Amino acid sequence: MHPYQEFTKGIVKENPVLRLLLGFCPTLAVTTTAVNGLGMGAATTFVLLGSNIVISLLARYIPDKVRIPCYIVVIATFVTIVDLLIQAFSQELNKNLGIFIPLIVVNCIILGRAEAFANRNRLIPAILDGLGMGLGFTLALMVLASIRELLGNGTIFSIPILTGTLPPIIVFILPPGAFLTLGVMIAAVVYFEKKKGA
Amino acid sequence: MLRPVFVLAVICLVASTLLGIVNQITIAPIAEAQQQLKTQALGDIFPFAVENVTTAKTGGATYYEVRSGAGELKGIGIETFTEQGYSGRIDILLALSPEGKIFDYKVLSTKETPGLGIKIADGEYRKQFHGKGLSDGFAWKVKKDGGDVDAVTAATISSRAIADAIHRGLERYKDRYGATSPSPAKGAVKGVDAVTAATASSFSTPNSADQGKAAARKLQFLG
Repeated sequence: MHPYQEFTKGIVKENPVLRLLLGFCPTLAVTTTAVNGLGMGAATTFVLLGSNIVISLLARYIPDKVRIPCYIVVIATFVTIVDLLIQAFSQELNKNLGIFIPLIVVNCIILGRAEAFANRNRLIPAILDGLGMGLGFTLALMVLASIRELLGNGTIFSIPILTGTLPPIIVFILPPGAFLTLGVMIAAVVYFEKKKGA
Repeated sequence: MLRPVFVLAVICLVASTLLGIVNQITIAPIAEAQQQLKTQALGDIFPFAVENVTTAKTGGATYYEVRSGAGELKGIGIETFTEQGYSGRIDILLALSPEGKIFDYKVLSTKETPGLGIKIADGEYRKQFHGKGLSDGFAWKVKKDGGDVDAVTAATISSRAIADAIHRGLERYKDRYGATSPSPAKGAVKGVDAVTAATASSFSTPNSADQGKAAARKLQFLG
């Protein structure tokens, strides 16, 4: 595969959320506002990139028997670093994302990429894969969060857009709205991919 | 045979060392940010500039006494909470006059439903409590339960919870300052267990304290 494709595949074709259906927990939970979606996406991308780099470098030294605990330690280390940095430098993000940052450890996108890609590829493809998957995750979260924030609160990134014209449909910032919106998004992406393939 | 153990041990060792270093770097900024949040929260809810604050902890409650330059008690901040929120605990910071009347409050942490229960934190909703206290016949229940508290539409549970939290704060005020005769004079306060001098100094002169911390951090990096 061309290195360029290692990067682009994560954006639509193998989008971790919309095509691989991974990492739903943070996807559904934090996407009440576009800012949260962006913050979560950025934090996850950082962890994904870090763990992909370290694991692709260490893979051949790690015995098969203990590879999962080793990967988890690596991932948890990056997650803790992100958590501490957010606490130190962005109280706003800390308040909104709170508990979901430590939970990046169990985001199956990250362990999934470590198992399925980083441990059997060299450094450069692993970096591109991490960045692409992270970007795909971030984009999916931001689109989902923007739709929910727009319909549920009339704003995007707290900028009023529909305020005054359409009353907010509160259900969109509640959990059911997350499921509904995500379902429609997945259906749309699958539809267009099928059409392209046919 | 022992290789897996060895590899895992080395990875854990490296990881914990790294985390130790990051923790060292971020511990000061995190403490600073939390301190700043508190100061900011107090500044938000009092109708005057908050500069001279002393912190006191009595019987598990935290009180912030806001004084004027001359040392006269101008207001009291009380941390209070309720466990009866729609999604669990709600922590608020209540701002009272020395006579125990409410200036305002600020929701510090909550998991109430966005767009719905969270409206208990809105300025429009908070207005109804301004100037209220324990002793003027205001019933600290929502109207549905026969009280005087307006509920947020479709969020009665959250409204009950905030009424409970405020009421607890007013009780805490009564515990420390008495029901009817508040004693604004310094030293006349009963039951002081601990007055944290360190917090007091960093509160009263936030700028110089911050500079000190920043300087300390720089030293840490150099040393």
